[in-house]
Amino acid sequence: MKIIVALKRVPEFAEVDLKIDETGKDIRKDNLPFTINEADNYALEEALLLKEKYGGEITVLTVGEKSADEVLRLAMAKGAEFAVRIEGDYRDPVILGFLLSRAISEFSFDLILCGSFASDDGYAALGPSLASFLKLPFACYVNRINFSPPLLVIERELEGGKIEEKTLPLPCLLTISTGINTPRYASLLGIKRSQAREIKVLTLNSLGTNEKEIEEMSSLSLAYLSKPIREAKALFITGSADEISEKVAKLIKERGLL
Amino acid sequence: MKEIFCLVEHEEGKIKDITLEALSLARELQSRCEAQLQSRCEAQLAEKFSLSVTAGLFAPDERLLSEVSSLFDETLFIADPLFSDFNSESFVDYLLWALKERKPNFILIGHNSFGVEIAPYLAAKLSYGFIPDIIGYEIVDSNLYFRHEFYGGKIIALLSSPKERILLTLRSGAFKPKEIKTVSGKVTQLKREGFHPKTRVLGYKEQPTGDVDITKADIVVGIGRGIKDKANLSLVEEFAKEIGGVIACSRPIVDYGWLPKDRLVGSSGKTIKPKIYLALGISGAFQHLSGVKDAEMIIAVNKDAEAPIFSCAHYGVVGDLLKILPALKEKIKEIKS
Repeated sequence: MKIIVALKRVPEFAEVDLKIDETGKDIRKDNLPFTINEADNYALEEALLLKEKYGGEITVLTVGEKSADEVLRLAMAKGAEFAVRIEGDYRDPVILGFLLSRAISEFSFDLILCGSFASDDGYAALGPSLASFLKLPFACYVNRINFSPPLLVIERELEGGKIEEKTLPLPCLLTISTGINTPRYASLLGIKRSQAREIKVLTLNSLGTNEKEIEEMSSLSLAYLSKPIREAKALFITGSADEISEKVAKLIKERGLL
Repeated sequence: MKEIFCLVEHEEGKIKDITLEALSLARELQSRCEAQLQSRCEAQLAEKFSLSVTAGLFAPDERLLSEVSSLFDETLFIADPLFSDFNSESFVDYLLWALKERKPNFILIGHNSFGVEIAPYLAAKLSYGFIPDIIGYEIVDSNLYFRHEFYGGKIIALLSSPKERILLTLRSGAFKPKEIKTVSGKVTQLKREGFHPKTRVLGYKEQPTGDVDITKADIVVGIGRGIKDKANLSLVEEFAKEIGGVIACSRPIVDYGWLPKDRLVGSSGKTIKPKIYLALGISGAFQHLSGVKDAEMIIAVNKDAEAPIFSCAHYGVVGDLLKILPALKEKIKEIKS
């Protein structure tokens, strides 16, 4: 099975108080560690599992500046064969879908996997956008894949824990939910070896497009970022761990539940 | 004439809340636009450019038609057995066919497991502007902007589209349905045959519930990413036992495989209404909040004072839950004895 996985490099921000930079259009990223987008990591693992079971090869793709190479190398360290980076800083899901479709049209493939959404912009749109440019059948929020030739039988998550079971022919595209598997860690040797591996870099020119065409395709634009204004903020309990516990315990006791 | 098109979502013969929320936003945009037009040009001209709020009702039968047509100015109705399940492929194909000529100025779809499949595909195919998962809007200098959350709700992005026609997906619960006026709307029935989807829905199933039902407990101890390590679960278990509560969690904990999926609270899990909800190390992404917002009392512990959970919690503690939890357990023990 020839599998393509789209990856994104994102900052880690759990338990971090994010600051907006002076442009007002981005957050300050200088002190944030970067990593592979969580859902993409599950998609990559799913590709590795499918390859182990059915054979084949994995190509990983990303759109980004040179710094994005690190997620491609991480994927190669885990077992991806080929890596392609489309040069440029694009965030519009329609443009990203178009660029990836142009790059992918040069490959033969059976399956494309994407993460179900990116933790940074939360658009949850790349997969279907890419599928539309490639005219592929697709499904989102997939949390189980069974290959029953010639069809894929998948389960996808709906609201309230409900599951939809669906069949798709190959080739197709799936966006993968977090939790579908347990992503492996890359071995140190794998990471070391991946540093010397080739990453094919594509530009707008080599994809047969140009800035003007991309500009015209733009579906959204960012005016500025702001911190949310929180309504009905919690009443904060302060003090030492002991003092806090005293007050919280009292609150619980007052509800008559102990 | 200008048009705002809302895709009607329905389940078991009922219109879903998200559609009423979309209708409410559509009516608001309609009255804003009309007011603006009227102030600018002759009333006659304004009439010509008035906005119509249209529904797309794609269903296996006529069951919902009269209800929908009493809410929307016009209803595009397609009856086809294809729509007895929610295969997005059929919806997308019929939407493209039905909307290609009409080119509504806005298309509104819910940002849920259904809309997430349909909307980006449709936007790319129709070359529409596309703004996903909106939670509000603003009009600045007669330009329309939409609010969208970045970084799990820690940052708000104000987005607009360079395109004249825009597809929006709506966060569920973000646009409260106001008093809905009834109209005697026009019905336009469309017919189309010969579409054979490549994908097929085999069926639907519910998540099985395990030995603990988190929806029935008075005290629920919810844990999130801030718990850091699976080894810390025992600390939470001891605490939950002392306080007489059950353990639930946010998405990452299920994804890591630390707790089974029947403990998941939020849009992809369960909705709970306990008397007390202790949110430990949960940042409070909207997916989680939608499942706990009706708890009688929420006490949240998180290291990040800006975490969205504090906008929903009644009481907040900024600190390390691994330090606070053992102390709190001792206090509870003291009170009980």
